[in-house]
Amino acid sequence: MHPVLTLTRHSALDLSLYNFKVPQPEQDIVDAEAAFVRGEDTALKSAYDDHGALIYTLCRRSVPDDRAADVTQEVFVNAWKARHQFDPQKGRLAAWLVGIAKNRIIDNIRSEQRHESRRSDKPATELPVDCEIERTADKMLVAQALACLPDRQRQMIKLAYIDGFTHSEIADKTNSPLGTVKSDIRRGIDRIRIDLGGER
Amino acid sequence: MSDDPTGSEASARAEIEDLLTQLSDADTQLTAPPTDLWNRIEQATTGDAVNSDDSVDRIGAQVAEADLPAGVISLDQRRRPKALAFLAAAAAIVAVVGFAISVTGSDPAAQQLAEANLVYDPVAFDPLGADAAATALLIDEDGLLTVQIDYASLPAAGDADLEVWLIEPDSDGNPADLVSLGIFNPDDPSALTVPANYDPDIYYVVDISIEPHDGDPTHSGRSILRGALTSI
Repeated sequence: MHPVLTLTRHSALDLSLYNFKVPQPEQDIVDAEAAFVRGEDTALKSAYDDHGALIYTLCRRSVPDDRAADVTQEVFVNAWKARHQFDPQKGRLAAWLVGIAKNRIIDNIRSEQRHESRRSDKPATELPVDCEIERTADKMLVAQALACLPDRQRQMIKLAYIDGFTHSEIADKTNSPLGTVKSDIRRGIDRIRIDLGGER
Repeated sequence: MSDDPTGSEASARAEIEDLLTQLSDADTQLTAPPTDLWNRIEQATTGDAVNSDDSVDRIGAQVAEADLPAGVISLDQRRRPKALAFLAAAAAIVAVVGFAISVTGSDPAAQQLAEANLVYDPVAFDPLGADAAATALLIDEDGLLTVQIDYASLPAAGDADLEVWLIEPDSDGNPADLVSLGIFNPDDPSALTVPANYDPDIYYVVDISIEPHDGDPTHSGRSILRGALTSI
């Protein structure tokens, strides 16, 4: 069991607030994703249970509340109909769903901009929403992947990148060899990269 | 992917490290969806599980093209109206209000809502479309709207693509707005998904254009067929 960590430098990001389910074992995730591709009866419900809050929250952060549920519905319906296109070898289901969500959100915003323009008889103003939504989505995916890492890797990464400690300081605080700190961080970052669609 | 996996991995790692430094509580606190949302999703996908028929799968492939991050119509490339330099071939367009619903014979979940007879305008359109003939069907697949192109003849586009559009005409019949439904491959004539929030009651003109591989995501202005959806 790793030592208890005491954080003092910065206001700490509280990953315990991350109200995801307890991270699933790797094989469970692989099995669930394979069932989704096969279109098994309960697979969509499982995907919704696992990722519905992520998609809905992303939608709520991007479009008004009264449209967030509609966009979330579109994401899951479209994903289910396109499930054969999902390749688990190219990233996790969460990342694939978020990719669909980004497109649906941007379409929704642009459509509303055009409708608003017609109502007000003014030229449509194209807001630079793409990058902002992309950034929000990517941060939420990284946060999710971080929350799913093994405890020690997650805490090491949190200390390094969120709380701003050096590797040496982390080694001191956790009473861990410097090499362990570096390897945990590297492996954790690689795990996040693969979850987000990077090559294995 | 990059030919240099190591460089690609390093770049991805750097991006993740950058994102990690910017995480806030807003990125980690999730809101539960409304309690009725799952029921709505389930209702919209009922009967579309493992036993679904081939037509659903074909449509699914098109959803992927339209929506997926690596799809044909990426958002960065989403075709936007530029000069809308169409001639007023849509002047004879008839508005469609309140599509009637009928049930197709092959798929009980599919409902044909409207049909458009696509015609060539010898004055305004690209000469490649002179012998083209096709119809477009607007279909409701469990809440997912698609357009299916049935064609008797379409030209070989050569080093270009055929692209299908939905157009919103203004009061004079000129295009006020349009949206791409995607590339149409006559050899694989799958249905094309209507993007969310593009109401076919408003975007009710179907257009097929020749699109050169020039990197320009807007309509080329080289239409070959066009017609207004009318309710069935």
